[in-house]
Amino acid sequence: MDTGIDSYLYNNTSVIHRMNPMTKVVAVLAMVISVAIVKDINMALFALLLSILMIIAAKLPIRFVIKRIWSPFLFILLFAAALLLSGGEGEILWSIGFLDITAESALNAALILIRATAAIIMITALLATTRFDIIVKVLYDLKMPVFLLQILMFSYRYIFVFSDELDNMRNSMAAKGFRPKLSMRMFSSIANMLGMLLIKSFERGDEVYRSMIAKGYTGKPTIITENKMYAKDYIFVSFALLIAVMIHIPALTQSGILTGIAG
Amino acid sequence: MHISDGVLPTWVLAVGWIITIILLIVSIAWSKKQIGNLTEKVPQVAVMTAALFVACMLKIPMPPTSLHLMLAGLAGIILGPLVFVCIFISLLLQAILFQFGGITVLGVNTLLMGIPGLCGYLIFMALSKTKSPSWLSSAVTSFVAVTITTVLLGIIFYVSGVDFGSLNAMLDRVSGIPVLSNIAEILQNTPGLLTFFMIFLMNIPLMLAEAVISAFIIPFIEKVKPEMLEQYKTNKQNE
Repeated sequence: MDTGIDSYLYNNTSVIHRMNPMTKVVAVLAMVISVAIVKDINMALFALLLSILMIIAAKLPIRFVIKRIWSPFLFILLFAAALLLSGGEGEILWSIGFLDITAESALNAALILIRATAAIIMITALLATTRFDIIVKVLYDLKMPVFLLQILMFSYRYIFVFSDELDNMRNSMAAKGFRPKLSMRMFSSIANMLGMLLIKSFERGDEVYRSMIAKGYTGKPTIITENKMYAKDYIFVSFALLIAVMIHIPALTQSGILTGIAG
Repeated sequence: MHISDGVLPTWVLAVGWIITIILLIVSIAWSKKQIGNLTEKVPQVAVMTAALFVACMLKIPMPPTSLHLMLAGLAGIILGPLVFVCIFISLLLQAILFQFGGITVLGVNTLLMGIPGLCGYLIFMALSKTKSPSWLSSAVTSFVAVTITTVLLGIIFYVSGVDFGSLNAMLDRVSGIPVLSNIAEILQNTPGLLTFFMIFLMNIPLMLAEAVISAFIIPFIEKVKPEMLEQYKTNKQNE
């Protein structure tokens, strides 16, 4: 089965693949948070450019990236379309039938479209070049609560198990003549299948816990991480942070917060 | 919910994260009070999270399209207060694995499904004390959970500036027709109601599908694996 779940590209090496994971995660997180809230459309375009540069530096195939971001991109389009219809002040750019689209709403929609796309591409660049378990290790080092991280790690592993399980059940239902058509019967069959999935997972969880106890599980992490940060890593992170802050300067200047300092 | 990074205004994102962190702490403390040792729950919750995650990926045919279930209410029934943690983790996984949702918006997305999950737990708990049969209780729980998500989504869209203002112009066109014009007038004059109305319309199929599916799942679990719903059983016996 082609799960297509993990976005990590194994057969690929690039500068970004080899970079220290801690550096990568911190830099990309800073950039994404910054890009996601940027208010100036030129800076959003700059961020989009930056994200495409990241993809090029990571040597990711364009088709892979497009496939990855396609469905979230549709959601963004939907939201941008909703914003486009939100009216607002300013001249009316064009009217489609009885819908008026104003300059302000068009600008808003464009800003959101651009910055959201940039953020998704950046995250894709990070995830396609870093293995999931390494990301979790970095999160340990960043002091995210252990309780949450352990659940995260376990669920990640079992997603693949249950994904196969569900596939098996669907195949066997199809073999018995089940066709998904809208009817009460379809709902009942699907519900029983999902119910069985949940019951299996419940039993599995019990077994996993008992086997873990047998192996001396105490709830404390025993991950040994060797993430040494070198000078170049610190420089890279500082550079990323600097850009993350810089892209907000135009909007801040415009709103008059920075004029006091600049003047 | 898969609102993406970069879509919502900054303050909404910040408020979303703050409330999510508070609710995470509260729900973990709550289940600690119920169970005692949470270490025991780590594999259980994780495995159930994985199963619910996979279940949500299943496409349910609903002509003309198909939809994905949300299962927040159902998760609430099965996991109790830890449902909030479960939803936080599964949304984090979705963000990491599919780029659905995002990092900055994780707080808001968790609230959109986690609050209905917690409410689902409370509603089912309350209903299990009455004489209502379990299929009805679970259908009501899921229906209400999706409704709460819809309401929250409407609030978030509205405060983020999506008010479908242009549709107002459209509503003017129906002013000649007796009943419709009254509805149009109410929609136009109450702030936020139009946003809510649009989102509500989009989510009606999901509400019905979730209610029906849950109405089948919970009785099935009750028959096959009653231990999963033990906490509600003891409730009934105590009365």
